[in-house]
Amino acid sequence: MSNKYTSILLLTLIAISSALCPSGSWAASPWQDGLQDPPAKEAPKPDAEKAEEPKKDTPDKPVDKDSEKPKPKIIAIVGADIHTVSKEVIRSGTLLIEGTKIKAVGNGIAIPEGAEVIDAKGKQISPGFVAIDMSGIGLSGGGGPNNKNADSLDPFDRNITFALGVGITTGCVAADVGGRRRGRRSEDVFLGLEPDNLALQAEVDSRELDYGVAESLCPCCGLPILPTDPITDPPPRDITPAGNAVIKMSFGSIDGMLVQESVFYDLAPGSLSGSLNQHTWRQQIAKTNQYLKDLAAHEAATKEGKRQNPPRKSVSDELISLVKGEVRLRISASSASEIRAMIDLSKELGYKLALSNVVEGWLVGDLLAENDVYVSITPRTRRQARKGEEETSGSLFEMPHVLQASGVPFAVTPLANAVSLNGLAGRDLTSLPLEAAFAVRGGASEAEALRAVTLTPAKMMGLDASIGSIEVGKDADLLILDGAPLDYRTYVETAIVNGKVVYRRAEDRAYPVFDRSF
Amino acid sequence: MIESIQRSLIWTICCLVLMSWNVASGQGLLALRGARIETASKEGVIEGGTVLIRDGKIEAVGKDLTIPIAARIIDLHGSTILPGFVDPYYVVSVGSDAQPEEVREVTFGGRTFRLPAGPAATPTVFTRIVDGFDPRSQKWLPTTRTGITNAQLVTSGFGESAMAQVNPELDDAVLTKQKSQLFLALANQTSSLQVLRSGLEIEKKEENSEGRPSPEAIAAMMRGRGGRGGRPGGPPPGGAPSGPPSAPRGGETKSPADSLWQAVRDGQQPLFVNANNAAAILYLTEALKDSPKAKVNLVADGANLFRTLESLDVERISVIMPPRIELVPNTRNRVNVAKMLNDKKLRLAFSLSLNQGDFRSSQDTPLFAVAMLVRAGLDRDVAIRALTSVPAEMLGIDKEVGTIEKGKLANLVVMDEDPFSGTAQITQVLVEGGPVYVK
Amino acid sequence: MNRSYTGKWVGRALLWCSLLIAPAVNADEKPKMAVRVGKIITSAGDPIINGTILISNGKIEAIGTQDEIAIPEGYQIIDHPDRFAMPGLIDAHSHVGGSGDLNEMVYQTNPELRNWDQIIPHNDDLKVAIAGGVTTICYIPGSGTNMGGWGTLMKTGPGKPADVIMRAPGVLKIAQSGNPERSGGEVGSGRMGMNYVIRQQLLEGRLYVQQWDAWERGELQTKPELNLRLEYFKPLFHREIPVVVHTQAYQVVQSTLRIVHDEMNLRLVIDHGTFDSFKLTDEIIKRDIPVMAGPRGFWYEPEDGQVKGIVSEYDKRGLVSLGVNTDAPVIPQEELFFQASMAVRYGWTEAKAIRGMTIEAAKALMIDDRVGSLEVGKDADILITTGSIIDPRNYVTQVFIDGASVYDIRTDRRRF
Repeated sequence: MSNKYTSILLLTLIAISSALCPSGSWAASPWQDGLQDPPAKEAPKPDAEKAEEPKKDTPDKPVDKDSEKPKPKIIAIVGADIHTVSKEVIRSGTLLIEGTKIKAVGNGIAIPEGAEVIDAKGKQISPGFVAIDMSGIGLSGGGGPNNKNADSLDPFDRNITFALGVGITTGCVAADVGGRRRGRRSEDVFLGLEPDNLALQAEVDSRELDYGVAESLCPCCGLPILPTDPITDPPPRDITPAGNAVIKMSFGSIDGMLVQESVFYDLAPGSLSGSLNQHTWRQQIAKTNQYLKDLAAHEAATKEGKRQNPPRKSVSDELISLVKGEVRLRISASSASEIRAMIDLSKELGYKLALSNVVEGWLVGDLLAENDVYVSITPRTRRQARKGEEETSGSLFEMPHVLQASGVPFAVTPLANAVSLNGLAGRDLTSLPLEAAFAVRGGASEAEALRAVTLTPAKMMGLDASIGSIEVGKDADLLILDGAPLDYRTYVETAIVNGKVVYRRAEDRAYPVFDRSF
Repeated sequence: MIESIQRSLIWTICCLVLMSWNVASGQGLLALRGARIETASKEGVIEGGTVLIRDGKIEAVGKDLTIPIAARIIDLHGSTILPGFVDPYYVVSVGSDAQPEEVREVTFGGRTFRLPAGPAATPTVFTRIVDGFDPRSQKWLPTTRTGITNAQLVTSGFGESAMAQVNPELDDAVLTKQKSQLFLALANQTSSLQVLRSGLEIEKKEENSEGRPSPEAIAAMMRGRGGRGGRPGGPPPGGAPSGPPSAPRGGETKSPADSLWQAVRDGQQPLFVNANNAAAILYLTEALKDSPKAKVNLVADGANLFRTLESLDVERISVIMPPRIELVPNTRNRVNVAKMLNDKKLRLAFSLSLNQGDFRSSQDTPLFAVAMLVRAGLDRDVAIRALTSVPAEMLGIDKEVGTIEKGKLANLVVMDEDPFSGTAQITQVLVEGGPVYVK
Repeated sequence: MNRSYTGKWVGRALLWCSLLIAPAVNADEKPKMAVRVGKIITSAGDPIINGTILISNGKIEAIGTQDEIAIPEGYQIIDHPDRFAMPGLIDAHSHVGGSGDLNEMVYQTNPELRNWDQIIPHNDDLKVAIAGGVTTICYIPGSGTNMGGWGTLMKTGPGKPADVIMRAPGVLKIAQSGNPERSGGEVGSGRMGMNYVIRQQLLEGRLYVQQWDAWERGELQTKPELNLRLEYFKPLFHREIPVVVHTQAYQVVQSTLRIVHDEMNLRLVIDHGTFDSFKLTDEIIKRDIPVMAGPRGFWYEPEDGQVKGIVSEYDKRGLVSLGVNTDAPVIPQEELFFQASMAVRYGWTEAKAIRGMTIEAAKALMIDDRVGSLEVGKDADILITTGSIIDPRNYVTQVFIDGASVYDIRTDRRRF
């Protein structure tokens, strides 16, 4: 009964198979010999594996580790002009990479025996570009309230290849705050705990005592939990930061991909505007200062041998880092008045600032410089001056020039912070170096514009000890370019992250591959 | 067209013949004669051999066997006999209503908190297949038609698998009493990774800033309780799953999950990990570095395996994949990942059911995809074993099934031509000597 | 007696122009100027090193090397020895020449609509556009309906509407697909319906023009009835003005070629030509149709995960009549050059990109008798730049439109 259908189906299958086999890409691939080998990049080099071997062995035979350790691989890139960013350009220099770090850079450097030599004659080398603001790249979404960025890395994200193809090797990506206190579903911390658990006690304590800022919604139904005390006005909510994480575009490897979390205290635009918000903010900072003071007192007391309970921590780690000056508060401040307001507040409360989306910065260059404020700008952003206030409002195309002249460190951000494949060219994350070219158009020097996508953002995030320039001991995050770093025609030929080649233009074929006769 | 009609006719006749035998054949003595036998054992291929079956077991296999007088003889000249296919990762659905969101009431300091015991449908719910699976809810025809006689049943999330065999009596499948294993669907997400890490007892020394238990600790507690929403100590499946919040669980009862994890940690049993993307495979290999004895049967599709090929430790990882020619990601280049895995000496098993699209669409020529891999250079013996003996070893049921050898169950697949011709069809599937599918 | 429509139409236009322009700007008042630069890119042959351009009466009077051209007396000398000069850029697809109400969407085809009554010369967008080097735009209605109305070719400089309008009606706007779709259940919710209404409207227009032509030739006894709704079809079907067609993707461009070119024998410009339309390049070349590609600059081929430059894909296949557009405000008007920068980044060449934004665009819009290159007799629309305009690091320092300096960073705040 079904045999007829079977036969037809079967014939179709045969037809499909025979149609597939001898033609098209089937024929193009070395089909009979078991198809082609993978491209070199997709499958990491055996050397990389070698480097991991000792780790594997250690549990079984704890031999002398140093003698067992194979020498890290050395890569020598020779013949290129090297834009160090921190110092001058080295013409036809040599750059040595050992393991994940830069071992040497300069002229007349001897190439160690056994080093892998990359001939880059006629090419230019730049530090990998640093995107100060990215989204939707390298991290998989979802995962619930306790999800950690360290567990959500996706080093095979195609967007990583698109970013590498324009030179972005590191970026600060919008991310969840790991285990943020009192998040919408903070109740999850109760999971699996017994009522006599101390953590639960602490949590409930904080609800009782610290009612003003605690979660006041029922975690199951979402309705407010009515306080037993007399009803008062709802207290203002805490100002909480958005999460961020610095990740490297280490395609194919989660090793060393997550660099650091919460490098900024990121606040949404307008979070600190208005007197109520500012009042709340002042209280939060005061509370943090008090906590740090109590903690110091407690530590001093402990040193003296007194037994004393540590102060109860009612402030977040992010806030502590901010108050301690470890991270900068980052907030959008496009107009001159917003910039002034943010600077005033930061001076009063004593934290460091990074202002984003700065448009009228050309009006307050000196103020920004005096107060050690880092800014990020998008040179193409255009804003009409208010009528009659042409000299004191609106965008100025030469703002990069003004900022440089005033000594304000600025990072360049593209028009959008995500990779877009909708077809509009040069307007998404991958236009980062082109946007820096627009800073040159706006009067910044080439060197300053290159700094604006390398060292300046690295400093802004407090990571300049490891990234942002080509210096001995820093991470080997490098680009081998076929032209000047900010030339609009320049393509990344090879991108190296943490000492590993992670992108090759000719093989990855993310962008058009062609020969340009300059 | 005429040819196909002829072919249909021949099959119809075959069919009728076999069906009559189906009715007649019981447990007695059966001899399958004249076929090419792919034993999947040391014996390799026996041309024109005979399989002698008594009481559902293989009594003898060989070329010049003396066939006892009492035996019913089936002549299978021109056909090929293979061991029944063993599917090492057969995903079934287990009534999800068995795991509703629990609500706990906690009274503390004079106030009562009603707390959900956890978000619903997380991959961290421990599921015992035997507790929630109803064999009659499953459509088995695609399975038998594909030549699968034995399978490890798993579901989403993580839990304890069950072994199933297509049953000749009931024309159904039954769970066997064979040893069950631990399976886990892994994603690059904390909740999912914590199940793995806590199970492997990998300490991540990250002090939680709030001084409250870290997700690791929570996961560890879940494990101790046999999972949130799970049943501590494995009460009978009939028990009310969403009963009132249980009383404080004072005593440490050892849950089934615990003993399974223990076996995994000691390297006595492999862990079946279904990695949903390439990143998850990297996280898995990271975790294995900190659990030196654990072994993993990694379930993943070819494209993800291709990207992570170099990170796979041959000693620790075996691979289960849907048979299929893959595209190198973001290209039109085809690649034979199965061959690459085999060249790398990784133990390889195929799950015919894993890619549901292929599984449903290729039931008439179930080995078409494998045939393509063989044509593209995969060793044919490796391909045969990847369907039969290797998965049987992975599941620990290789004493009973997986090869055509004396003493094993007569779980056999008969195909009308060379199994890797691409057009080969299954004409007969036997389980314990009885036909469960006849074309 | 010449009864041809063209004659009459041109006559009327000239009358208007003289009436409107004459009192406002006396041609003689325009200063005579000599512009001397390091390099002139003419878009009409090789670049001229150390060249001079003489401007008088708003037109280019002479152009050549500084050795060849002596500067007569009375000419204001503008000296930029380290700068480039080049023709002003032309955008074949813009919506920022006037007020932003671009779509009247009651009827599916709107040949009764025209947009030159709502022009706002030298508006804020156009001021910045000049700083980006754009001196001429094809200002057209939107793509909300299948036939949006008649567009205008205009300059971006200051003046009254009559000063800046180059030609009106300048073009007809047809939108084939990917915007004018109507809601489900109506005619025109799908491609069949949309092609039907376009074809129907063009057939009606053609019949009208044919009747009038026959009357003018004396082949008809009765004079056709005047239909104001269809009047502007006359220059269109006389191939004096082109249709700019909003068309994109392989299948849609095929129907454009078939309907607008093959069936109706109209001059047309493919005005988006994005996605995979470039696969039709040979068909486009066969019909000698220009493509002003954009605003999308690349196509992501999902099959191989690659980004492909749309312009360079046309170029690779041999199309010469090729340029870019901004569809401003989709891309800001001033970034026309950057559309070309991106096309070059993806594989086009700089020389072709400059031609594409100047003379090729002028030819496509049928205004190459006036603009698009620096040649004697053409409008003096000249950019002075710090280098190749395709490189975003270079910028425009001075702009002349019709021989008048309309932007000069020495006196104006830099706008781009």
